[in-house]
Amino acid sequence: MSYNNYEIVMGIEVHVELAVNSKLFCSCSAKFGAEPNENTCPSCLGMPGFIPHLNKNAVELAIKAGLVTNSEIAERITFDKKNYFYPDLPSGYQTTQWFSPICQNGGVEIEIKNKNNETETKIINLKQIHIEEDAGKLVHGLNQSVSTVDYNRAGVPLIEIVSQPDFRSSEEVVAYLQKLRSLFIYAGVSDCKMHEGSMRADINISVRKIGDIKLGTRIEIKNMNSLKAIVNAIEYEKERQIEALETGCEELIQETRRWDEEKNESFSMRTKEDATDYRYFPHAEVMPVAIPKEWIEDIKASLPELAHQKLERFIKQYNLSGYDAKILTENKRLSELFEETTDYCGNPKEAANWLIVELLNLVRNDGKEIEDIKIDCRKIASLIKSVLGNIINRPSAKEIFEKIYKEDADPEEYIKENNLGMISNRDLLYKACEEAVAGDPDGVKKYKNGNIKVFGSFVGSVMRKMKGKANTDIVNGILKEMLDGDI
Amino acid sequence: MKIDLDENILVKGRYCLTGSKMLYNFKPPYSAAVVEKILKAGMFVAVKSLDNADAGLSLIFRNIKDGVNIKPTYGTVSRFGVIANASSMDSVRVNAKNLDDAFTVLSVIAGSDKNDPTLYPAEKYNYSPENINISELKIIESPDFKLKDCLLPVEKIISSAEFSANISRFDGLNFGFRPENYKNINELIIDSRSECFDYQTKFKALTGAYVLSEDNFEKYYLKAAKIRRLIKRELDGIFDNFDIIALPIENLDIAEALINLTGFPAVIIKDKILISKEFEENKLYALGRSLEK
Repeated sequence: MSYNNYEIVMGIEVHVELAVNSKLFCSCSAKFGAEPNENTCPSCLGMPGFIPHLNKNAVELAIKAGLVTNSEIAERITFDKKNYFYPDLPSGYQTTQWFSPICQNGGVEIEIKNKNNETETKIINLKQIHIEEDAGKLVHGLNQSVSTVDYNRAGVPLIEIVSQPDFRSSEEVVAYLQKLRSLFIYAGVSDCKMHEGSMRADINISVRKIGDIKLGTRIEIKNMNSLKAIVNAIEYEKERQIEALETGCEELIQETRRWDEEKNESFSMRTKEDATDYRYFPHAEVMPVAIPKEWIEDIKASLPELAHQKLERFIKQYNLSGYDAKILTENKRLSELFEETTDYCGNPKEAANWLIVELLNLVRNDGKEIEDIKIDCRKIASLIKSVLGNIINRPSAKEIFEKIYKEDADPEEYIKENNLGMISNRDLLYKACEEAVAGDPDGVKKYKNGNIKVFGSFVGSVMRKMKGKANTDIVNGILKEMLDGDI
Repeated sequence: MKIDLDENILVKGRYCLTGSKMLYNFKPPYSAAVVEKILKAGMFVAVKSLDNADAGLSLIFRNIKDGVNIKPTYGTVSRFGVIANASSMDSVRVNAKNLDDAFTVLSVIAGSDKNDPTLYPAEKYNYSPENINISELKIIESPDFKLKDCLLPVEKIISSAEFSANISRFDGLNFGFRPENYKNINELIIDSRSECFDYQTKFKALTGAYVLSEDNFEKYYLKAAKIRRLIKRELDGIFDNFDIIALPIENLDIAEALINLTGFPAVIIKDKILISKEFEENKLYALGRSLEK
């Protein structure tokens, strides 16, 4: 079946936990990872008689989020109650901003590849950003009849970023989530750890024939917290909905669906008919907060260097290519590792190469995020110095880099212990090269006939003879001399 | 002086006898700010019937024979540790045999509190009838104003709405009553509320849910909230020309709606309800005292 005449239309609601010390309305810690119900008090457990104390820092971070997404910041904000009964919600209502969100009409620029593999920019428009409190977490035990609740998360401040239905592909969704993540981590708004739930996405998905103006019937998939699952869910929904429209095998209804990662399918959870009526109304106990222009200006002035500013600085200060600078600055932690390593070794180009090629590869293979790993930049720098000082060759250095990453190995000690010091004795290397060339007359013929690729196999042969420790620069020189000259 | 508390004002470690089964086993681990203030002032609290009270605190006016009642300006007495009823109206009130006692207690409990950020910033209020010349007070009895007929329905709509949300925390889950047998979460919540709430509570909560529901929100809640602002404006206009509105005790329900919706202070004494604008309790004190004699 050809699906080319359909397009997918999506809007996203992203929940991001703010990087604050305490909860939105009480002084309990908002940090992740405490013992169950350690971070609770009578107030966030919903006991009667408490008046919420608004965490000013949360408002400030929400303003930061608005600033880095080019949003309009409200002059005055109020809070509302969203009513529903659920065990993870101790007071029976969630405090949110239904009537007057703190930010409106923002926009986030993303970069995507078009059909011709060229990079294009696209603006994703934001309807609003609002502040709200998170709910607790239900824990279903082994015993099916008992569930327990951990209220550590109850009352932790969130912002919800609501986009317009501007997405047309899963690539755009991924680019947007990565961009938001980068913006918020840089600005100190949130740590945006999807696997810890501090960044989660609800995705509204519908399809329509290209050219149609009217939007199709949309479904919503809630609480997605991995990019892989998001991409799979979107692709699955696109197929399911188009097939339903084309074949009539299923009637599309407005509903909430759950994504099952193991089965790689989505399932209906509830339809619009049984949707809860949340009975939103103004929260009389949280006083309205005025946001004067001066406050916004102060916050703007306090913003740290952001990704795009750092990118420009890296190109200028370190003479990096735009490509390298972009990769390094997309991730705040990677950019910090780069600057630290460069400080120690004095060679930005080498530092960039090792981090972009080797480190990112190792982290990716581990299935981790750069933010989660620990690595000593002094050791990377020491390794780089050993390479530049012709103490070790690059293949050995690669091996040592992996040891630094995995075992926090000390490169100098490791070189000594494993006798990895490079062999730069010209006579010794000359002899090995002679043997390599003499041992492969076919290869020599091929090389002479213009097949320069075989050059590598001669280098490899010398390396084997020298147990991987040959100075590759010298070997290259000798081999070139031999092969290009007349033997 | 011994102060009797109404049961919705919580005392640390003491069972909360709201008269509802819902909180029959709830011992709050904290005391209301007003309780702390009373104890700090060297007074005592007791939480019993109000019959032999020297002075009493409550959220609602209780008709005490020969007594007086002060409803202070909304936002001058901490609501920390007070079970919320209608948050935009709740004021801790003082009942006493005479106005001097009542204002003595009010001067102890009124003023800022770190646990209630909604309060006006004043640390203390000095209540005294001394500097008021009652012959100069301009009093209007039973004023006629356009929105008078709206007072009761508007108060009912807004207070029910706020009440319905405020009692959602009583769900049988984390504290208080929980039924013996329940099949699932919904049953646990429904059964505990069905069993513990009386008819009036259920009626008010349902009224609140009704006026807030998607279809009715604009028609009822939002309209009521708008009229509430207009009522306040109209009454502010009356207070531009008068110091005190005096209503006969027969109009108690209207008077209660009026002070709840506007936040104005009032003194109920003998057959009169005296109302002033915000922070003019001393005028009420002075005029009330003249009526006591």
